[in-house]
Amino acid sequence: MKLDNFIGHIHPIKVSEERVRIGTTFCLGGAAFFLFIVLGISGLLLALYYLPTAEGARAGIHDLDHVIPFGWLMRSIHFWAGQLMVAAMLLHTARVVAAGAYMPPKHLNWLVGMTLFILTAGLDFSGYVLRWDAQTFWAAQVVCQLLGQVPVIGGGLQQIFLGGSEISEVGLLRFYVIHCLIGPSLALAFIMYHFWRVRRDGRLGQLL
Amino acid sequence: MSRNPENNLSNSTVGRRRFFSYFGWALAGLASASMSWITCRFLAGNQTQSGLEPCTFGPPGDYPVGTVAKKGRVVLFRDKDGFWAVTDVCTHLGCQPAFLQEQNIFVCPCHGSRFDSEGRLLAGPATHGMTLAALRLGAQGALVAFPKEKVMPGYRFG
Repeated sequence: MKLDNFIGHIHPIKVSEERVRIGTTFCLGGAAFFLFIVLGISGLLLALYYLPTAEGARAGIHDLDHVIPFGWLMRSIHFWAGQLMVAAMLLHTARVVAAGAYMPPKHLNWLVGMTLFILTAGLDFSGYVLRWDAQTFWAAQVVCQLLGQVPVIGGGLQQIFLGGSEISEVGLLRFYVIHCLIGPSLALAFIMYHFWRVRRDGRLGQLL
Repeated sequence: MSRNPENNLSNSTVGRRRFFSYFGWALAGLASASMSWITCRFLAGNQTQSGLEPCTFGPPGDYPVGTVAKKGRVVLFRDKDGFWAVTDVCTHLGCQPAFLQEQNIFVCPCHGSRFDSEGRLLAGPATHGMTLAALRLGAQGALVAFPKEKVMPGYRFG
C-alpha cells in the first residue's frame, strides 16, 4: 500500500452523502481516532517528565500532579482520553456487530479492527502499569502470572514481556517502551490500513 | 447552501446563523489559544532557579585557611578573616566561570570575563562583579550557602 494511494482513498474526489451520514456510524471509529490523536499529543508531553524507573516513576507522577504547571491537567487529559477511547472503541465494535458489518466483503477489515481492539487494550494496560504504585505493580504481577499459564510458550512470553519471571524495573522499562513506542506505532499503522479498507471495501455494508 | 435563505440577504447585517458561526469560531480560537498557553507553561516547567538552590558544605572545621571548595554553582573560600561564598554565575550571560587556583581568578569559558576570588570584576565583557551568597550554619553544624541571598562585597562568615 503506497502512501499516496492511502491519501487518495481517504480524500476521494467524490463521497456519496449517504456514506458520511452520521446516523449510519455515529462516527464512533472517528471519535476513537480523535482520542488516539489527543492521547498521542498529551502522552508526548507527559513523557518529558516521566522516567521509567521505580524512583523516577514515583517522582515524575508526584511532580506532574503537584509541581509542574498544568501537569495535573495533562495527566487528566491523557487518563480520560484513554478511558473514552476504550469506550468509543467498544461502542464502535458493538455498532459494527449490530450492523453486520463484519460480513464479506468487510471480513478482512473486521480482523484489522479486532487487532486494533487488542492493541488498544494492551496500550490501556501498559499505560496503567506505568503509574508503578502498589495497585498497578500487583496488577502487572497478576498479568505476569497469567502469561506464565499459557501452555508451552508461557515462560518464554514472561521473559519477553517482563525481562524475567517476576515483575521488576526491567519489566517497567519494557511496559514503557511498549506503551510509548511499539503500541502506538503498530496502532497507527493498523489504523491507516483500517481507514483505507473502509473506503476500498465500499458501501456494500455499513461504514466506519 | 442554496437552502440557506440568509445567502439572499444583504451582507451588511450579521444574521443569526452567521453570528453563531462567528461565535463558534471565536470559541474554538479561545480554546486553542488557552490550550497552547497551557502547553507552553507545562513545557517550561518550574526549574528556572534550580542552579541557585542552597548548597550544603561540610562543617567549618573541614576547610582550613586557603581552602577553595565547589558545590553546585557556589565556590566557598576561607582566609584568616573567615568564609565567603561566590555565586558562580557570570553577570554577562550566565555561564559558569572556572576558578583557576594558581592565578586566583575566575575565568568565564564563554566570553572570557575575569573576576577575582571575591567575585569583583577584572575584565569584561561582563560589566559588574559576581554576587556573594549568604552563609549560615545548617542543621548538623554544616556550612550552608544561600545564593538567592546576596551579601555585600567584603562579607566574611565565622
